[in-house]
Amino acid sequence: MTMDKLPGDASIPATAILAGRKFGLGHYVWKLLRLQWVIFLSGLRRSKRRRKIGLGVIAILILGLAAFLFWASWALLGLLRSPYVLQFTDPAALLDAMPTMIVSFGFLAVLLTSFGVLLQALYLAGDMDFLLSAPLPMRAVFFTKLLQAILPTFGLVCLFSLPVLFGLGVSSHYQLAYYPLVVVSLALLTLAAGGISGLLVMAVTRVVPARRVAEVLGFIGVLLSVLISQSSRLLTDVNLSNSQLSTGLNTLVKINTPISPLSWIGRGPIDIGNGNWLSGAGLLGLALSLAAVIFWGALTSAERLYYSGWASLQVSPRKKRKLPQRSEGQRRETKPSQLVLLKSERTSRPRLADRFISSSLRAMIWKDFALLRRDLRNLSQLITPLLLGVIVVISTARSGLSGNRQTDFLTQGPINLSFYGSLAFALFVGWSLMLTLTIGAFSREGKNFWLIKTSPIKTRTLLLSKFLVSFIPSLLFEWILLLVIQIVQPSQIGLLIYGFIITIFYVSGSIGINLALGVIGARLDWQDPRQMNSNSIGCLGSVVSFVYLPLSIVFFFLPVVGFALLHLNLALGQMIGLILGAVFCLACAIVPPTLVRKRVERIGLK
Amino acid sequence: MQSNAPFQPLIETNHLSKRYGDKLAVNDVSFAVRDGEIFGFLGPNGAGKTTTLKMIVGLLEPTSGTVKVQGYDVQKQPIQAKEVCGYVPDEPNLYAKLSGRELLRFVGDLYDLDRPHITRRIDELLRLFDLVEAGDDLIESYSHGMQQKTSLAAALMHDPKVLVLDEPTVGLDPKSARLIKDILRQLAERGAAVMLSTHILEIAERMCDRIGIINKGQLIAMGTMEDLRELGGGQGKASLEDIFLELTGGTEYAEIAEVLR
Repeated sequence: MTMDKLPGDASIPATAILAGRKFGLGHYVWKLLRLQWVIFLSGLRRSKRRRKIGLGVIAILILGLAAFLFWASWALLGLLRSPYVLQFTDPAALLDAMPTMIVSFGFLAVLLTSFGVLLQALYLAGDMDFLLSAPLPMRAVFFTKLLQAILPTFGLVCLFSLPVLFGLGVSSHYQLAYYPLVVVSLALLTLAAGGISGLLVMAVTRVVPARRVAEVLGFIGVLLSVLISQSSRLLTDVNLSNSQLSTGLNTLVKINTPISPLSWIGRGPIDIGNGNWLSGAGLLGLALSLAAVIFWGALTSAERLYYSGWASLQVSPRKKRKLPQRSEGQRRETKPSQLVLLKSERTSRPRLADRFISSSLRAMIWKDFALLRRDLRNLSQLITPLLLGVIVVISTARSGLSGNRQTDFLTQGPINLSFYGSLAFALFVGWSLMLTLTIGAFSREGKNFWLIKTSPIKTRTLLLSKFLVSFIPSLLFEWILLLVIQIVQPSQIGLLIYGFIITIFYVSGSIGINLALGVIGARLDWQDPRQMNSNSIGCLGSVVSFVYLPLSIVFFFLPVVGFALLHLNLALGQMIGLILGAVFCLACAIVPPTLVRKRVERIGLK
Repeated sequence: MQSNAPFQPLIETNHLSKRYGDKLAVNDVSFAVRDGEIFGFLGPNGAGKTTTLKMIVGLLEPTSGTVKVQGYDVQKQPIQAKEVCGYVPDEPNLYAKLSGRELLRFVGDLYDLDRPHITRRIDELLRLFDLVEAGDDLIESYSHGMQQKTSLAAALMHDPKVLVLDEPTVGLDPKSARLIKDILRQLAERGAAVMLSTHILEIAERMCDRIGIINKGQLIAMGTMEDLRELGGGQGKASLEDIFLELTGGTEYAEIAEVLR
């Protein structure tokens, strides 16, 4: 047999071998950054046109935002000089403290946000071994990773802070040197914050596994974003007095203390801008030297800790489980030959509980609830609807307790409009929880689905388990909501029970529809839980839920309203509404899942 | 349920094919594995081994052809076929947020085993695979080898009549690899059919009663070691590696390796 020529050293010209040639750190950092850029471009080139357009739109929006911020900061600075602010604090002191406040905010922002990015870059990206085994200086690898982590945040910090700082410069007629110095200061500050963040990542991952840290970070991120987005709703009744406002502003001004290195960075460029070159250069030089030392120290320490293995050797504080004492006979190892499962060990006499609920159904429900509870990625998805519900409950309770806003017309008319309104409201609040729980019911299995797929579980059981896992928490959520409303705005117990029954049917129907959509859009190959379902299915689920909600309300309540208007027996109207609504909801609960039964069998079959 | 008559094929594929778009991953593959037999499934990377195994356990739908497990058509009677089958995938994707013990209990429940026996069986399997200490830890904290062993323990929970394993020894230490070999031999001696794919030809040569070689989706050879030796040129002392390379056209790489020594 003839042998092909080996592709290898024989064909490499001697001049192409660069071993022995020395390059600076910058050369390798540039090489690695260029690699990242190539990866980004390659991803962009291969991405769908929709994503490309989206990115273009985002870029234009960012530019627009920068322009707006520049204009807004100008207006803000005008406001700070106005007599209105004079009644709370000294505007000059506030203006003086402005750069320090911005710099401090930027420092904190970089410290916190680069933590997550560095965690990803150092521990989760999976390219560290490849990069460190390549003929590259370790410092270049770490430097690039740090840059990778802080560049996006630096961009955002610049976007939000530069317009204000430049606006301040323009309105205060600072000298030209002020502007580049502000940028340099922010850059070094960002590097220092990134360096500290890198060390923090290593310290944390020494105690907690990196994946767990990422899950917790994701959860905290979602929690914060929901809380921030809903803060206006929560703070509607908070009214600050003038003295409180004054105290707050004065406390804020105190951030500009002369002993803080952050205030040196803030004040340095201003002093230079005002022509006080000596004090400005001194403050700035001191602060920038400190930032450079911190960055370099953090970089070399991180490199050392990683290479020595300190940062990857986990010292989990978890206690070792004490094993039960076993006799000599029990301590012997099990041998393969002992692993015979006798025929009688298979289920022959089903227990009473098994007659109602099969062990496979029970196992599926238990497993899904355990994973929902334990996997923070799942909780991150559910936290938004749950928190929204909690906020609504708090708002309802507060509005109920702070003076009864119900009017006699609502509660004492022919029908208790207040109750029906609250009931419809409760149904509305629960929809997003139902949607999130149900649409991802199958996708949540991910790559583990093979275990279910290869086991003898019937499609009917599988569908029922997924239905119940969404149904039970959703119903409980709705009932708690109704109970809170009942406590705040009491109505007849009979009406409350009526509401409970309606929610059973409503939740069933909603889950039936969304479960079917979840089957159609099931994806098992996701890495990021946010990619579990295709966007189109998520949108479709929202649209269908919004159609389903008013339709079910019409079926349940229209006969009640009709009977009330015609002065007929209200109880009969309620009964007819209940029957009509129940039939409609049960149809939605049963028909869609039945239609997709065959599809369930095909999930994961490619 | 059918009776376990001697030499009844427990795995039977008939003209099995799988097409992904234009690519024919498995092309008209037919073979049978009888009770008490360990059947090795060999082939180069991308030859169609995993695709075939996945079709046998019901994870992939064949484009054409049929698969029967203990006489049950996997397409038409999937529940019955899966009841007697155990599967160990090449990548042990297990529920990371369950502990090893919880996972085994879950699998036992899926197969409708009695509760007290599930508990006993879990203890046995954890001891067998040296996982007692880690049994209550979450699977996400397990090493690859431990996950592989948990995956095998899960496949053995219901004492399957048919065991299908995809690269079962990858990532295992020598002790665990030996344990798996012993378990497979024991299962076969008790009348189960074992089908495994492997790249480690030494394992196939030593353990398997019969070997099938698949290349580019086609079953190009099948039989005992003696049968294969005859197919591979009739050299009396040829190793499985020689035969494999001869049949799959990989001998040039062996020559390259010789040159590099």
